[in-house]
Amino acid sequence: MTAGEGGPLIRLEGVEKKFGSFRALRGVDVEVARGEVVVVIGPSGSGKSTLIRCINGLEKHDGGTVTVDGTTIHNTSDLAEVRREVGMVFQQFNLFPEMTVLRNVTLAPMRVRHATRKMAEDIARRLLDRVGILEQANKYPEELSGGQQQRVAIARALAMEPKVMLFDEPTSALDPEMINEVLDVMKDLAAQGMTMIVVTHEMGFAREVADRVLFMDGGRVVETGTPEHFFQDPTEDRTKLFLSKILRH
Amino acid sequence: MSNVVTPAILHALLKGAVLSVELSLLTYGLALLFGLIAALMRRSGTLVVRGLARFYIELFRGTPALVQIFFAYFATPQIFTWLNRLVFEPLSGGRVLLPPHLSPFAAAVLALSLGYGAYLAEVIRAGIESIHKGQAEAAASLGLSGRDIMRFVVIPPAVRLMIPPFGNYALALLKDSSLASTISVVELTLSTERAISYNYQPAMMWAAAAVIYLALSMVGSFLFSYLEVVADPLRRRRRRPMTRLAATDEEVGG
Repeated sequence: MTAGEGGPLIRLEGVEKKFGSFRALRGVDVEVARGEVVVVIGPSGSGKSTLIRCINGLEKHDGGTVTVDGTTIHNTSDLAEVRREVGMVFQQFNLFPEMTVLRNVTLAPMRVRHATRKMAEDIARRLLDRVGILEQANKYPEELSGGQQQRVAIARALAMEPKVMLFDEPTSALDPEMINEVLDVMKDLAAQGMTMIVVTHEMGFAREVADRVLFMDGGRVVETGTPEHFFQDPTEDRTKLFLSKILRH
Repeated sequence: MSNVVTPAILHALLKGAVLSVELSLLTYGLALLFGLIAALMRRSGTLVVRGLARFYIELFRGTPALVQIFFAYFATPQIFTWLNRLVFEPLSGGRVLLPPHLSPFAAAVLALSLGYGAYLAEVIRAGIESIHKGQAEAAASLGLSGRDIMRFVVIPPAVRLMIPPFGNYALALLKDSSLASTISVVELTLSTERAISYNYQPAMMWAAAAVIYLALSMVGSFLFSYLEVVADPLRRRRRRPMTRLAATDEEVGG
C-alpha cells in the first residue's frame, strides 16, 4: 500500500543496524513529514550518519522497516526507486573528479531519468545559478574551493528532483569561512519547502531552520522536539550533558 | 670498416628490432586482456573464481620468466602429446587437435603474456580499489546502476592511476622480450649475437643493440607520458588554445 499525501514522507520503524558486534542502531523509530526540516545531532558514534545512510540504502539495515514515500525497501528494485526520490550530500562532497561541474550535475538525470543532454544541461545551469556557481560550470572539482564543491554537490543531488534531501555533516570538512555559503543554500532550500534531514554540529542552523531536532546517543533516539524545547528546556539528562559540552563557548 | 658493418648486418639488426617490437606489442595486448580477466575474477563474489585468479597471479609472479618461456617451448610438446592421446583423440574420434609443438614465437608470446598478465592484474585491481568509496556512494545515492557506476565513476579515474605502472611494465616487457632469444626467436638480441659471429665486433654490436633498445624504450616512455596528460582533465585542458577556453566560458555564461 502507498501512503496518502497526508502520511509521513519517511517512516523508520524499529530500524536495527550492526557493524560486526557493534550495534550502531538499536530500534530507531522516526517519522518525517512532507516539507519538514529535521536536524539530527548527537556525539560521534551515536548512529546519526548510519541513520540517514539507511534511508537510501547506503547501509543495509538488519531489522525493522524503512519506508520512503510509500515504498518500503525490501529488494534492489525498491532501493532503486527510493534512491531516485532521495538526494544526498556528503561530508567529503564526493564529486566526480574526472568530470566538469556541469557534467557532475547532468550525469544522473541523463543516465537514470534518460533526460536529453539539452534538458539536463538546462536544469543543471538553473541549479548551478541557484547555488551561486554558474560561472564555474566548465571547471573541474579540484579547481573549486570546498564551499563551492559542496554547493555543486547540492546542485547535483537536486538535479534528480528528489522529494527529500539528506545531509551528512555537510559543513564538517569545510574551512570556517566557507561554512555559511553552504548553510545559506540549505536555508534557501528549506524556505522553499524541501523536506530535509540534516546531520550537523551547526547549532545555529538547527535553531534557525529546524522544525524539529532529534538527539541521538548510543544508537537510539534519546529526545526529539522543537528547537525551542530542545535548546531551552531539554527533558533528558543525556541531552543536557551533550548541550552543556557543545554550547559552553 | 666497410667489411665490419655490411648492409646485411644492418638489415639483420633492423629485422631483429622489428620482431622485438612485434613480439612486445602482441604480448602486451594479450597481457592486458589476461590482466583484466584476472583482476575481474579477483573481485568476484565466488570463492573458487577468486581462488583461481589468485593462483594464476601467484604462480606467474613467483616463477622466473625464463623458466616460463622454457616451459612454454620445451614442455608443451610432451604435454600436447598426452592431451592429444588422453583427451582429444578419444573425444574427436581419432583426430589429433593440438599441434606437435608451439613455434618459438608463439611460445614466447604465450609465456610472456601470461607472466605480464599476472602483474597487470594487480595494477588493475589496485587502480580500481584506490578509487574513493565515497564517489561510488554518491553515484549510488543518485540512483545510478552498478554498471553505470563502474563505467562513469570508477573506471575513468582508475585508468588514469593505472597509466604510470602500465608504462613501467611495458618498458620492462620490451626488455624481457630479449629472453625469447633463448628459444631461437630471432629478435634483436639473437640477431645481434648472430651478427657478431660474422663480423667479430662484440663491443660495437652489443652497444648498437643497447642503443636500439634504449631508443625503443624512450618512444614507449614518451607515449605513456603523453597518455598521462591526455587522461588528466586539467592538464589536457591547459594544452588547449586559450581561444577555445574563452569560447566555452562564453557559452556557459550565455
